[in-house]
Amino acid sequence: MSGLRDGLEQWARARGDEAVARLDSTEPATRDAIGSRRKRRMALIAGSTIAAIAGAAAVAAAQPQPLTIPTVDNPSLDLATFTCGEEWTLEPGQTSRIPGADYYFDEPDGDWQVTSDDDTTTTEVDQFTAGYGTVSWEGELRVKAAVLPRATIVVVKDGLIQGSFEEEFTRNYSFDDPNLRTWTPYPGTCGTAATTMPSGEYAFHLVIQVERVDDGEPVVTFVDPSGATKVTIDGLEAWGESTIEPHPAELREPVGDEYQAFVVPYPEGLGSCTPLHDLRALGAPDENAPQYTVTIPGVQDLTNAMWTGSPVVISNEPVDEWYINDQAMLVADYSGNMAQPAVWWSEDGTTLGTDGGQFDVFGGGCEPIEVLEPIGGAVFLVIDGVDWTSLWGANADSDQTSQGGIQTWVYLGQAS
Amino acid sequence: MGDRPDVVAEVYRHALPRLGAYAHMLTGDPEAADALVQAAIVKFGARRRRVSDAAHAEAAVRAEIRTIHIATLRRRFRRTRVKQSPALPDVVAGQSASATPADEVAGALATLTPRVRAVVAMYYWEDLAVAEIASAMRVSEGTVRGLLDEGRTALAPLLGNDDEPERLAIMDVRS
Repeated sequence: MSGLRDGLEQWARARGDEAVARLDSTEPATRDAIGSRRKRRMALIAGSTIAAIAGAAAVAAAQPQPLTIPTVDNPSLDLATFTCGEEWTLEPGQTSRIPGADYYFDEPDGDWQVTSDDDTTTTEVDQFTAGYGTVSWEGELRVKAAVLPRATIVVVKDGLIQGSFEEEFTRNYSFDDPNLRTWTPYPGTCGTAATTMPSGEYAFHLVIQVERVDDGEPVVTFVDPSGATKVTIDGLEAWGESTIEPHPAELREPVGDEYQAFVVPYPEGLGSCTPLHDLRALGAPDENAPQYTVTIPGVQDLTNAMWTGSPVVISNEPVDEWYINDQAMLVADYSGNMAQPAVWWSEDGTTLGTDGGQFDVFGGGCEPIEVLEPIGGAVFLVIDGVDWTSLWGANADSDQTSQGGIQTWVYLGQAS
Repeated sequence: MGDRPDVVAEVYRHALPRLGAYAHMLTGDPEAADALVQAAIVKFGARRRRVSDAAHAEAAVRAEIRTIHIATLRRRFRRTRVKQSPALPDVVAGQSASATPADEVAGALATLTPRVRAVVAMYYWEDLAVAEIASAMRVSEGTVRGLLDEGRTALAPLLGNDDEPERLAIMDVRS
């Protein structure tokens, strides 16, 4: 029994009854809003179809009602093997790999959409500038058995694959939550490697493969279950130059408790258990990254011990700074086989450290490992937040601070 | 149940109390909760997804509520990451003798940071496992446990402790 759970439920049910009294009369307005949104979507889809009359995939996307996904004869796939530069040959449709495959799931259904850098998501954009948006596919796939849906987004231009990125939709798949969402790479992103591609129109294809959990055998493969989409991406050259070609910032050693800090974009879509470490390997923080100063009292010697449970910070007084409640991780240039342990503050606000070396990453799903090699080089404390007042001054307003997906990398010094 | 307007009607007729309660627990504010529920129903209704029954529709709207709220949190947090002491709501600041238990719970929830409140709502109302919450919020399981502990600590004086073992995900394919 949980008194806390019961108490919360009792309180929430009463709030739910109150909500009914307020919301009941809003049904007509909600229906109007649904109608308007559908019309906008259909207008967009129809427009896209005329503009990009290429192929059955786009035509399928324009249908007002969900279609039963046609059966096709695509080859068995290893989702990790799409290779940049090779021809895109898959047919839109579903290919069953075992008899009775449809026992395991309902057909997927969803939409392509563009998310801007402030997390605004819309299906009504067919163009954006690299670095200020990304394409994703959001939909649902209801499973009825122990299967794992995996997905790869493949970027194609002129019939050739120009990017691919494999992703599990979710590690802990829930039977009562059919929602799926996966992000796309920019053209030129092939696995964890990246090259600069020219701006222009690219086609985005979704490949879903449903695998049995017990033996990993593919059950079915869906190619473009809701159609492909075409999006024009501007500024790819500049984005590639700034993010792919490394221009690491010059690091400044700490002075007392004051540390050089950089604003660094959140490492979306690197597809790794160590995205921060990978980002550092790619040259982050960049020389153009905004910089400010972060005060951290009591930082300890930068040694292996920090990676295995010894506190990063021991302060005589409780630390009362903006970053106290933010998620944080450690990153070092060389950190053996444990690239980015999570750290958090003690309840009394006097120490910051790991909880004994537990490996921890953004999305979970990576195996715990031991630190076998010494850390070395530059050491950063990566904080999932930014002190806007220090960065922009006291007059920081919402327009200045509306960029989403950014972190603070605090340079703690060189490992000893 | 195939015609979407009927599904919307079903959601309004049968699921509104639970969806409203969930949204209120997530946001800590009735007006924000109402807006969140409406936004989720509109998003769900506009998708023309296949739904098999009312429970499926409710689950889909609930998932939309979660998705929209987490996206809002990420925006808000990155805009306002400055040192701040959460202002206590009037009901707590007053602590008057006339405060009801419901007021006190609302007040306690209002003192939680938005992320802690969201984790509490997802864990205790939506019955998601820590791993599922971590996946939805795109944070680590350790972060979720920390936020959950923070919420429990804040709410325990009013509602008691949580003696249940941590709930596991329905399926953790990597374990």
